[in-house]
Amino acid sequence: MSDCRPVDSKFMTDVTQILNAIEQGDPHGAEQLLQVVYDELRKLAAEKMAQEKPGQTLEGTALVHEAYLRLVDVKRAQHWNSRGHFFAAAAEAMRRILIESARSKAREKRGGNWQRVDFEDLNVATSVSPDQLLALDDALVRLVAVDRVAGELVKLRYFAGLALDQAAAALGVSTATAYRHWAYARAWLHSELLKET
Amino acid sequence: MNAFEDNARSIFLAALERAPDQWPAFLDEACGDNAELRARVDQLLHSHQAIGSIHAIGNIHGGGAEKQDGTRDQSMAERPGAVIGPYKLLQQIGEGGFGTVFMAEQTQPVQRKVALKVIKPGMGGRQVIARFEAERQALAMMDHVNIARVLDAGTTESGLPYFVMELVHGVPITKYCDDNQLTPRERLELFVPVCQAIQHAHQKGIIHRDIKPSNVMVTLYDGKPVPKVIDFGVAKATEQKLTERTLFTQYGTMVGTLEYMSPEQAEMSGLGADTRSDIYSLGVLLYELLTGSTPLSHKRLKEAAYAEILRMIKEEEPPKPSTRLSDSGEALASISAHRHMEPAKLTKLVKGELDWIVMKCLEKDRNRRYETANGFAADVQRYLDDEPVLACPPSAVYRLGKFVRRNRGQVIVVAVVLLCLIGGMVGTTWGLIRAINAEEQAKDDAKKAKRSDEEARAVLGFFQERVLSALRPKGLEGGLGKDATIRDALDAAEPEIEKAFAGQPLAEATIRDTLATSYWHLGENEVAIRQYERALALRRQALGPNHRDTLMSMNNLANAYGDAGRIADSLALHEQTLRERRAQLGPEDIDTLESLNNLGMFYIDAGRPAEAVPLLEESFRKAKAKLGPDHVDSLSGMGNLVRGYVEAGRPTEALPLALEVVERCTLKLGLDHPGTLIARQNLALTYRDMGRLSEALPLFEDVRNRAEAVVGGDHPGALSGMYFLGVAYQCMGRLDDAGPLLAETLKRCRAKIGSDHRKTLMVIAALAATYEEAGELGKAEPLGQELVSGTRRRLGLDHPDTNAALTQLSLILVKQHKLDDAEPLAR
Repeated sequence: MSDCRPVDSKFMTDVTQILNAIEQGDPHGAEQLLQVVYDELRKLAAEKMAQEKPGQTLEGTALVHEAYLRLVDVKRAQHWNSRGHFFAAAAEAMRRILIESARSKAREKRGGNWQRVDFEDLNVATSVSPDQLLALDDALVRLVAVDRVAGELVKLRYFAGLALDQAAAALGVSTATAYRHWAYARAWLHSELLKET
Repeated sequence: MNAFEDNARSIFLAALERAPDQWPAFLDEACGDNAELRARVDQLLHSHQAIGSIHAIGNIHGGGAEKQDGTRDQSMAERPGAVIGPYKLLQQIGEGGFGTVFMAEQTQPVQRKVALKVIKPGMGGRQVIARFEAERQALAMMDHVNIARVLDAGTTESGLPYFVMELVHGVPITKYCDDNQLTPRERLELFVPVCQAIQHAHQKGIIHRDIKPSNVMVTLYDGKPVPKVIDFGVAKATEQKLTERTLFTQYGTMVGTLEYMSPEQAEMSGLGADTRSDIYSLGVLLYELLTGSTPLSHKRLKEAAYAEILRMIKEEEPPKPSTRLSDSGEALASISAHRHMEPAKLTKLVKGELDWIVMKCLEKDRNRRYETANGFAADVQRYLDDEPVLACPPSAVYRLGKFVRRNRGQVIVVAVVLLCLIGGMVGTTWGLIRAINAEEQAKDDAKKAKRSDEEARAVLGFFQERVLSALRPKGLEGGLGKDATIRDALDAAEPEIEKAFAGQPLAEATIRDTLATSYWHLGENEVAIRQYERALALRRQALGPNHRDTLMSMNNLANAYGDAGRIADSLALHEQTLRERRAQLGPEDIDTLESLNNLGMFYIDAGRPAEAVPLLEESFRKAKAKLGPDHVDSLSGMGNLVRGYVEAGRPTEALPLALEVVERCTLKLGLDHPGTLIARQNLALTYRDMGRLSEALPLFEDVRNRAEAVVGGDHPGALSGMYFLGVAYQCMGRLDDAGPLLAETLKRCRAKIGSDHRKTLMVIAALAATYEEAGELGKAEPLGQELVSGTRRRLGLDHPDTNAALTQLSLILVKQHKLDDAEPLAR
């Protein structure tokens, strides 16, 4: 991936600082981190979009993912002691962007289209329709209320693309525990989505 | 979490520790009388199982982040002892770039052992399953003794896709052959059913995409080796864009399959794999079975960078198998030993036909490969049966290819006719599409494949020595220098024929027939007629008047008569040929259908379209029933019927057919193929005759431009494109466009086919009408005069075109107030 612009070094510094602050017990750290990660991710995705020649556009989602993969540079991330916080923020940022995009898509389909946002041109994955993604996210919000660890685990796996063991590490639980949460979370979400249809 | 859900969660997780068949008893105990709790746990377990199959909430990134060291641990769930859905993993039996294969035990609905392949992280989660689902129906329909059935697919607990297949106890085909020191013949015999398995899959719409030794296992049934192709549907489901794939090659996971990858699969733009990509991979496999190495050797692959490898796959001409063997130095001894043969004998055996067969599969241009796996298998079988193979010596094709590249344009047609010949076949002349589609001919005209080996070789030798030698620099034997065209080469070769084929009348007839067809395609009808007449005489003498080949010569000659303007001769000979073919070959024979078609077309040229239509209808109907709608003969039959309807004033009946034939031709042959051009011109004519000029005009314009580029400006095809466009302009009142275009067409027609040719007369008529409408009566009158005398002489006094010409001239004269001149014409 040599043709990729490296992630802004200011971003790296910011993240490192905020992570340090979180370790020192800063109560606003998580919020700040999310904002920084979210902004950077949007910027990267928008840049990526601008580079695409018309006619050979990758799917919008794929672009967001690519931007995400650049943001979550594993080699850099491993320098941070509290990677868990960073991944949690990244997962949440991804979730927000994809949900925003899905909302605007879903609205557009219904003819609303009054509020144009930057990501309205992104197509949410072909394999998941905007409506499906929104339904899933609603269920996810409820899952967090029922079983917070299970909900966070889904976010990390689904939106941040972490493997089960990586997600376990990010959450600070054992892989076996994560596996149990994961099994329950999948079954819970599935039964929840079944209810709605 | 409320207590109820918390309780349900605990019971649910406890149930997962147990096998599914133990769940009812366990739940009875754990939930007791609490029906609500039981329902909730049942629901969760149901969801759990449902997700386990396909609706897993996987990872939408299509690949997880790698661990810091670039790898990822196998999750706890995918190890021997683990249970995935209804399968219990027993032991790992294989590992490749894409996944890990386990032997597994299925408990429900039947108890059996299966192979379960877990796709590695990073290959995509739900997309893999979605792609698999798309093919599931087709995969389920595959039923072939040489194919391992694909039974199921799903995702594991940790979101990894897996595939379940019939368990094959075997070893890769290359290893089996080497271990057992199979001779080349035994290897070929084992290889034929592999092709047949692939053919079976292709017929069900399944492309394998990843044929390689480890996917072709040999297993013993009753002591007999049986090849089994495994992993159908897996490659497609796990397929990734090449750009994505580069990520993985950094870890070297892809390299194993690159050796078998076709050029189109190595293309970044992604032409996409089709059945012919599998043929390529089969060719690589056969190469390896014969020589012990793949065309791109493992050693070179290891040394080259990824982009360089892709370039090699796309561009590099691989050495022939026999060349590879003779270049293999010290390794040759062990390669031969594995094949139970002396080194020198092995090289000699592979040289020639086996070289040709393998190299035909390895063509970079997939149009040049065998069209079907069966075609490939049949050629291997022919070799085994000591019959001549259809594949041609690549050197001649290559040399011809170079020749054609230097003489683009008009000579392309001839070149392809020559190609048929080098394959041991003779070109025929059923419409332009057919004549220039060498591969179709190669494919289905079994009768021509029967032509004796000796004859084919004599003809081939002649072309190599006498025609292709024109490539050589001037001064060298036979060389005409690099600016020579194929026409020059043909002219130079012609006087040599008699001497070269002394005592071989049939070979001489074949070569003259082919030469004539080449000239005919070049529009050199007089030369063509001379050659056809000679070929006909030779065949009559050697084979008798009713032999299939004699009748073919009659048909060809009748075509040339017609195109030379000798309509009456053409019709008489075509009618006679049709009668004989019906009687000798039967009413359904392809040759009989050809005669129906050709006679119909010359009825049209004779101004008798009403008689043409029933002949064309019969020909098309039978060809379609016999050969299928996409066969070139059906396509040209359909196109000709369109023409018949149009000429007979029935454009409404023509339109649906015209649209269909354009679509099929475009898909099959591409936009620039002369067959497609003719089809589109016919569609334009249909629109024109329905009064839909705005739809007709852009078609006419495009056809004209393409025809000129493809066949050259004075080729009959290009001239007809110009003519029809000119007439269309005229019909639309665009006289300023029509005049110069038709004048130029006329000039070229006079030079090319002569002023008396019927087609030239048509151009004269159109130009005269254009001038007349534009009020340029001084220019119109001499053309009108020429038209009248020409039609009278050419077509006779009663021909409708003669009458039309008279009317036209009268009009021109009346407009000039030359009533005295006009009056006698009106009588």
